[in-house]
Amino acid sequence: MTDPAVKGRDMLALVPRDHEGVDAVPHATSNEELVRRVAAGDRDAFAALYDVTAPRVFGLVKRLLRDHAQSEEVTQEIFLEIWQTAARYDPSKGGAMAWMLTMTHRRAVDRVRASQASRDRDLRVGIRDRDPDFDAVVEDVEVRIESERVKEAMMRLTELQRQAVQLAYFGGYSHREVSAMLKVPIGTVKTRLRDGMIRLRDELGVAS
Amino acid sequence: MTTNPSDELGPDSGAYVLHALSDAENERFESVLAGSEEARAEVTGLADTAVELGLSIAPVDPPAELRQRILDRLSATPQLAPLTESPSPTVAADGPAQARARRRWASRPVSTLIAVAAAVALIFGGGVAVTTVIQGQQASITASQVSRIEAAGDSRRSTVAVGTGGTATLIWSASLKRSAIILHGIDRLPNGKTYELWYLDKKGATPAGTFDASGSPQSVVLVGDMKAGDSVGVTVEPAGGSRTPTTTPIAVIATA
Repeated sequence: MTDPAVKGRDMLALVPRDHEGVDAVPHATSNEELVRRVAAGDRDAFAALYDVTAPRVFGLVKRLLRDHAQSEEVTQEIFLEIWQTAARYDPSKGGAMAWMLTMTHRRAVDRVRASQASRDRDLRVGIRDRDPDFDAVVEDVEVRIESERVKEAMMRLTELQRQAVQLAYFGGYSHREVSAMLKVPIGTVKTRLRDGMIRLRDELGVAS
Repeated sequence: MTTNPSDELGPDSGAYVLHALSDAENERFESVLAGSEEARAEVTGLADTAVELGLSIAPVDPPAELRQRILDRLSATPQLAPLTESPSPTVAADGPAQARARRRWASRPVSTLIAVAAAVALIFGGGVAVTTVIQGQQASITASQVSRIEAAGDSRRSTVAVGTGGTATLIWSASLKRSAIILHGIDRLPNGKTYELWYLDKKGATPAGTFDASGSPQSVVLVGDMKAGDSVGVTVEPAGGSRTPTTTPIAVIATA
């Protein structure tokens, strides 16, 4: 739908007025400020931080764990860890969301590794030529990447780099598992992960 | 393209930031990090890249009851004190600073809490020597501005049809005062014309940059600060852009 305002002739007339009382600034406080307040024991700030970040955290955890109940548990662990360690977060070194997502990935991977499912998975990977998990993970990941930028950057990787990075990040697989799945030596997997991440970094304009 | 890591660094940095190393390798690599600025610089950039991957996944609303369950636990969950020493802006070669860095990085500590905190601290919480590396990268990190806006806790988005065909999606963050527009399927303009973006408020239109259709989808970060309640408009202007809009906007996106 075209915004009705587009029909107007005068730019001044295009300025939308109040939209049914919707607050123009729903979260005027930055995540970084919220974490600072959480560090001081502010529970309201913690609740606000949860409200704005929980869907990102839960979405990533669920991507890795699949299992709903486990994803809830791990999300709970992550937010309690945020509560516990907020005082150690230093905004001069990166955004709060980045801090939280790094923690999220680490926690989710720890859970994947610790679970019985992971040990079963190792066995399957070891004895099968090409585990069905592998195709499912790669296919699924390719469909679900929401960001066009990341999708495009991914396409600049070699196939082996892309598969290795996707299995490691989105699948939570260790290099040993990736090695078994892709039928390449562990040393090669490590090199592909490094080269792939460097390529992504450069394609996404992240740094250095 | 393949880049050759130095012998000391080895190929583990990618697997490290993807959390794909074994515990033993993780320890070994963290001790390499403690002694190598090159390694820390590389890991910082790759860790930020991993965060981009995390942000590319669709958010999922957790069940409503999870929020209360977590809030109920706070009383029984002690908070850690801040690190007492403030990070030095320079790389310390010896003495207590180095010892501190080694403590932070050297080994997998006993409790889960501390273990994870250590991994996080490595990148964000401040080992002494990490400071310079990461501060130096702040500027280049802003290059991925669209992701930053998307990553902001108060990030919002709205999509409208473009009058001349295609769609325009505005992503904005009130806290960052930044917005970006993502255009799908808009017309290429004839020579001598350009698209121009505007921040609109009750007083009028402020120029926010020009762009030419160069593919679809196309992302453009708006120039200047966004004020609360500003709308964003797109017009077609003579090449080089105008100071005030000279044509009827082909799209207006309200953010209030």
